[in-house]
Amino acid sequence: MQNNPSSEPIISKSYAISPIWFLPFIAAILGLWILFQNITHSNKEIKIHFNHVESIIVDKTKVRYKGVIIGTVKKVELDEVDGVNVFAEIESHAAFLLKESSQFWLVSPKATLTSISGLDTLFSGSYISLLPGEGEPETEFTAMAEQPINVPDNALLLNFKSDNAAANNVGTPIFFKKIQVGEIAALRLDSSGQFVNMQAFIESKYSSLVKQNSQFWNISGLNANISRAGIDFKLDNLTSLIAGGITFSSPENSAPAAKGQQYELFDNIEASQQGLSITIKMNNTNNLTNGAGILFKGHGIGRINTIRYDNSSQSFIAQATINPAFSELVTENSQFWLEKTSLSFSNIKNLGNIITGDYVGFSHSENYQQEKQKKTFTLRNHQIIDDQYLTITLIADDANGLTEGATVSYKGLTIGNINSLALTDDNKQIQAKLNINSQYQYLVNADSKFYALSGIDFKASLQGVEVNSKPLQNVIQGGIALFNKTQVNNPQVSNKKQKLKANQLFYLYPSKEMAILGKNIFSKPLTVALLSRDLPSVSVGSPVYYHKLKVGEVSQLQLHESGQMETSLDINAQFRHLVTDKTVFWDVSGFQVNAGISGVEINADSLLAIAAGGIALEISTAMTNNKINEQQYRLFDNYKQATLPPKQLTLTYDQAFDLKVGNKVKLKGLEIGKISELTLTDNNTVEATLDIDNLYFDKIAKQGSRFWIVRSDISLAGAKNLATLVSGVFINVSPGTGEVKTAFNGEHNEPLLAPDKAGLPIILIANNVGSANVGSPIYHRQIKIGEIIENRFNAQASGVEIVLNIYPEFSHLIRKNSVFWPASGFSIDVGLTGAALKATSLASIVKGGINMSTPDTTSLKAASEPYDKFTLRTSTDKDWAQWKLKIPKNN
Amino acid sequence: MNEPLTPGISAIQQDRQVCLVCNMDSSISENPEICPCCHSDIAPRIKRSQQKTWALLITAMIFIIPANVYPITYLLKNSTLYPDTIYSGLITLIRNDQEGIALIVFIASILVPIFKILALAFIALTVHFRWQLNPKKQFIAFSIVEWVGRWSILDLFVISIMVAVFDKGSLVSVYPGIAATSFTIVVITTLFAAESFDTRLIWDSNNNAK
Repeated sequence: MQNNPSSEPIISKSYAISPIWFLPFIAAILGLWILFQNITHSNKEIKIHFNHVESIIVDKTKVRYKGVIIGTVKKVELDEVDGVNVFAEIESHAAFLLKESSQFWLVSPKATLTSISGLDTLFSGSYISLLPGEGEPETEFTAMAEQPINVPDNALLLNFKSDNAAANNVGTPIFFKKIQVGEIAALRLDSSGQFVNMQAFIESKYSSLVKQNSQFWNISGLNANISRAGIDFKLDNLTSLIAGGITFSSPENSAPAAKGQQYELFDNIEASQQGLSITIKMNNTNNLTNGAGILFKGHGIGRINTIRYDNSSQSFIAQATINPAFSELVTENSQFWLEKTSLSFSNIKNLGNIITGDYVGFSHSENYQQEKQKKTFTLRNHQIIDDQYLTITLIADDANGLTEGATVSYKGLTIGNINSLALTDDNKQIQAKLNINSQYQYLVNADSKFYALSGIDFKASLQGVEVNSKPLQNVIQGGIALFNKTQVNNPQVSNKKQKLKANQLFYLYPSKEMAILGKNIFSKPLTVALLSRDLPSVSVGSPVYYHKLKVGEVSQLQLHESGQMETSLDINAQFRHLVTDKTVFWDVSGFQVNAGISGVEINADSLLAIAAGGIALEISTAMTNNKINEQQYRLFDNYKQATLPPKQLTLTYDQAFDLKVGNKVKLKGLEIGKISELTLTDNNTVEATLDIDNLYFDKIAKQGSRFWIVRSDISLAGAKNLATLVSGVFINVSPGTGEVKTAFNGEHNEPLLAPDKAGLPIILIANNVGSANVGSPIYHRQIKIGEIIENRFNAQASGVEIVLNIYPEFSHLIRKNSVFWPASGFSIDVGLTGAALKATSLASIVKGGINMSTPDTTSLKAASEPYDKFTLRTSTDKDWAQWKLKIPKNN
Repeated sequence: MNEPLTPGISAIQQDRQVCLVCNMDSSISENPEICPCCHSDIAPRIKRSQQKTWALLITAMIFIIPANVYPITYLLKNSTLYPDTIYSGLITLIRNDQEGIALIVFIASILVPIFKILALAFIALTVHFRWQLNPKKQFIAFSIVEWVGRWSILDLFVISIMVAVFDKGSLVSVYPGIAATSFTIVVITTLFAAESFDTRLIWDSNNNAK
């Protein structure tokens, strides 16, 4: 390259400045920019004075505004006077927040019932929060003890005045229709110390709800309203349940509230309503409490606020508030009376008062529009009914089933009630005063009759039981019904009272039947004597019933001349007509238990009858020997005996076997009677007396009826009548068709032949019975055509005669030349080739039996006559089973 | 060419230069621009060595300020960001009685970069103003600076490891700050500054050199 030394070196201009200078240049610009940033955005140091601080860490604890970190605590030092000074650096961009009235407070975790706040600080540590204020920039602040209420922008501020703070606190929510619309921001006593002033705000979007005339009251979350109708729990939202709350009304036609308007805060909704204030005087507080309700026709219209004792008048004075909607009803003639709990068997009234306390009833006068308003009343014990009722006096024997307030009804329609019950002047009878509602007064005339409504009509007969129940109210309360014999027209109102004589007395009849009869119920009772072998388990005073209606009582128990026991009854005079020639009496004492394998049946009369015993009477349709003499009747053991006494027939047995008194008698499985007596007769037989139900007696008390004992029978061939093992044996009846007969010979076993099975009897002659037991079948081609009915010796006992019964439908199969051989269960042929075992049907193995066949080698012989004799073959020929003789039926 | 160089006199004065690529020495006059051996660009001294050194040094000087003033790491713990400067980290270590580590951090993060910059600047100034100092001692100092300089990268390693390890969202996380970048620039620029400084200039500027 440089081959030419003479040539001048090429002078190239070298750059004086290296491009690397670009680097510091940029760095310088960057540095300057950072410097500029630092200068312009220098952090501002502020001093915050705290009373005391918790968990503030230098360089760690932040200052936040709306959650944004705007600074850091740089220094903490004790104030020389008191408290702690915290120095914090606030970033320059947040410096505008630092104004004179800016508020700083320490946020640390805080859990209260209504809120848990600062939970994040549990982990991140406490921080200082600030609420910007207004005024000049400032660098020294005093921290708040607590977080100031954050009043949202544009919120409506309100002032409340209240007697006490109640459950309210800073932060207590204000609800409208259960939606939180604001909260209490501040709470302090007023200067006089008598009231509590609260500051609250309503969020701007809800501020229109607050009107000039809005009422504010406290709500507690749980509101239990216990009344007769039940218990009504009202649960406001959970926040208010725990922390209480405030709600308010928003009258539509009212102007919106002004900012900072003053309201009174009421304790509850009732207090908030500007009701009519009245005073009620009472002699004693009657257990009324503050807050006791005032009810008008069951509707709460007011409340007793306070009850105090007035020394001058020596009485209690209750201040009450009446709902303004009802205030016009409270006039001069208004009544206030006490409604108390009344609890009895027949009447439960105001039961709710037990829980809620008694309340005050209210009724307005009819002409309240014209009357002046009055504000002082006296509390009465009862409501005084004015004269819009017709009052009637009833005379009754006793007050059973009658209670004050019970209804008076006409054809089931309530037309009035019993106002009072009292003894008559002579103390012998009951005098009941009835109030008949005015619109029904025309129903009552001189001929009207009243009768007591017993709760339940009970009619029992063999055909069934009929229960007729009045409304439950009558069952419980009793009641009186009006009955008019003649049709009553609705007359003009003016006429109605003229029909009644002044002071007319009515009688109270015990039942409608009595009322219809209308007999004089105040005459002497009828005495009836009942005779029985044993005394019924009754005592003097035990009731006498007619269809469960008490019509008299037992008056005397004594021994009659005849040696029988005599029970004397007094039948109340009004039931005198029940004792006729056809009347039957029976004992209804105690209860009967009928237990069998099929179940247990208990027949009991009323509890009273179980306890005290009793006699029932009934007019029997069927004439029975109910009467002994004039006014002397027979007392039956029970209704069935009285009305349908069983008829008796006798059976004679050699031996009583398992028979016992009480064993049942059945006809085709239906129970028709029982053994009532077992006696040993003179000729050493057992005589069983059967009580046969009246209805069936005629059917079986006939010549030809057969009675046999049914007992369990367990044999290889089967088990029968196992039920009798438990229930005992019974006597079965096969009714006959002949003349009337009441004495029979009893049979031990079921007659072998059912009537429809009795066919052709034939006799087999054999050396011994073998397996031909009674009952064993006769087979033809393995079909049962009859059975053995008897085994007996022949005349000289040189052999046996087996009597067969061939069923009627098969009797033509027996021919003069028919062959019989034992159907032994199986036969064994033993030969050179081995043994062959042949078995016929399983039943024949077990039961044995006899086979029959007729040879086909000869022509058809004549049919067998009854009692023809055949020989029972002892050995069997194989061919017999192969015979295929055709035997026509009608031959 | 094979003539040995005379000790005590700089190679330039003996018309010799060395190729920085292949370490072959050649005559300046014969091969003013190209190395006769490897044909790389060749010059008796690194071109504009002083300028490069100064530029990089100044850059490092500028950036060492934010590297120490601004937070080098941000620790995000429970949604709160805790910035840490090198200095505050150092204080924290000392408060936690870990003086040993604090010393290492102090040396590696504060002392070494500053010492490096100061030492380089001093040597560069010596060359620039031809201060007559002992060139051998200067060279030893430069060697130490060059050797020790690479260790200041340690801090950045620690930061990068922490950023990678502590990454648990808002629970615990570590983010590098502005100072980390600045510090990196400081370390790199000082490394390059040392690299671009031609130590032979120390002797060139020294009139006392034999």
